[in-house]
Amino acid sequence: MTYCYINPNGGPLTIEISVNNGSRSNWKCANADKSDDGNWISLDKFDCTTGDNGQCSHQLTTPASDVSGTVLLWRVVACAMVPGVEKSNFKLCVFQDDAEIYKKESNRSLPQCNSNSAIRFRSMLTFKTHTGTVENNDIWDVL
Amino acid sequence: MGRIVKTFLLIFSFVSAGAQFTSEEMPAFNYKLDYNIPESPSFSVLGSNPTTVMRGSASQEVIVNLASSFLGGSGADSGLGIDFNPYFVFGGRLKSVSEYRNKTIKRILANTQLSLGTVNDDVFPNDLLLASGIRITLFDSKDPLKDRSLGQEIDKILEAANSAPLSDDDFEDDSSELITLDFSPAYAASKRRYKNKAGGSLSVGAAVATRAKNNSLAVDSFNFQKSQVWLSGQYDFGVSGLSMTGMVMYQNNGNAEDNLDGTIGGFAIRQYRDNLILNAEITYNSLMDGFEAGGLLEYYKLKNILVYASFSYRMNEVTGAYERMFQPGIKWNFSEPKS
Repeated sequence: MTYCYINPNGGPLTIEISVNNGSRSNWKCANADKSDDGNWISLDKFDCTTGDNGQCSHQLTTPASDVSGTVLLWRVVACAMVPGVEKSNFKLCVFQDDAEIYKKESNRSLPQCNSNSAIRFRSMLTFKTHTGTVENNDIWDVL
Repeated sequence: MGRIVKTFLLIFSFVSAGAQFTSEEMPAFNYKLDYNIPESPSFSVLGSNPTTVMRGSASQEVIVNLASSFLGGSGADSGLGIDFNPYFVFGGRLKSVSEYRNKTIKRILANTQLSLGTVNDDVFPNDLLLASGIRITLFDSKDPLKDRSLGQEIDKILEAANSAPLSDDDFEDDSSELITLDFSPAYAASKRRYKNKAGGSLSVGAAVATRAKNNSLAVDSFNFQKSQVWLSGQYDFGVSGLSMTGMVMYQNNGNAEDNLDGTIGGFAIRQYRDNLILNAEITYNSLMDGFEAGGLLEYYKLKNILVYASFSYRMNEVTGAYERMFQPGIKWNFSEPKS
């Protein structure tokens, strides 16, 4: 499980997705929360096709103040279109107030589309409230 | 033939080493044959290509060539070669298809083909003829990667494959799996568009051949044989699958006593059919001061294997007499399972 630390008082969260080497990919994403009975409730869901530019983005509809404790789940289907390409870098970044607050990259092998196959994989992150870092000076002040 | 196989394995391991540099989890090679595969630069300088006039169109990734030449009822010359794209094999990267379309340098790098080849020599059976070459496509208006529709159709298939809503199972599963999707209609449509689209391409190439005396790969055993540079332009009319190619080549034959050099120019006309490409060509060779002609049939039906056969009248480089030459061959895809 990986965590994305957010500022609950900050602006909305933007998800930026990219895939390199001209590979084609479709991402199905959901921001979800677990209910008391253990079932997942979808707060926001979106599809993202990286296309010719190899990238796409989405602004979460869930306000930053409500996103802590929820997860972002993504399921990707992808294949390589450029001849000779065997691997691509799949990257998902979260931005808040123009600052990158989370990045997850994976360099994956993938088949050529014209071999009639593709890869499918899933991953997720959990949003947490940013509590701030304790600076050395603060520690000395306490001591 | 045995030493050719050994030399080929040496070449193969060289390219393999480069490919493994870029791939940690996958089999190193991902050979893909496509339609309209350009001729091998190294086979050209060795005289083992089925045609003299070479195509100008975009290069492919890694192609293995196996050729034979049957000269006027005499014995057969056999050859093996490998053409590969060094940019991807040795770690080159593209940010996106848009970058490929918009950045000329990267597109040229992605369309550069290195070529290594070897043939046996009936005249000096203890010697080995080796060649290396490079081919750069400067421009190809029909480059399949410029076909926006193909990418859009692939995207639609991926979207359909990923359309099921996320379920509780997805939250529990972080595995990666290989799935089968039918992209063949998208590629068939792209191939139809390719055949029916008018457009041109331009490529340059260079190749050099050496003779390894007494089958030795020691440096002092190499003897310069022949070199050549060429410019090739192709225009596809987009009607009836017809295409015209023109080529001009400067060739230096260092093996000849008087160190011959001269120009070879020629035209070829091709017709593209669903699984066939028919080719006829005529060339003028100033070194021999004569015309040569030939025909070629390429068959693309078999998966990952292109079969071809050519028949030509060519001049013997020693006697100057015309000879009938029959050249069958294959271009090969050694795809590994993607697991």
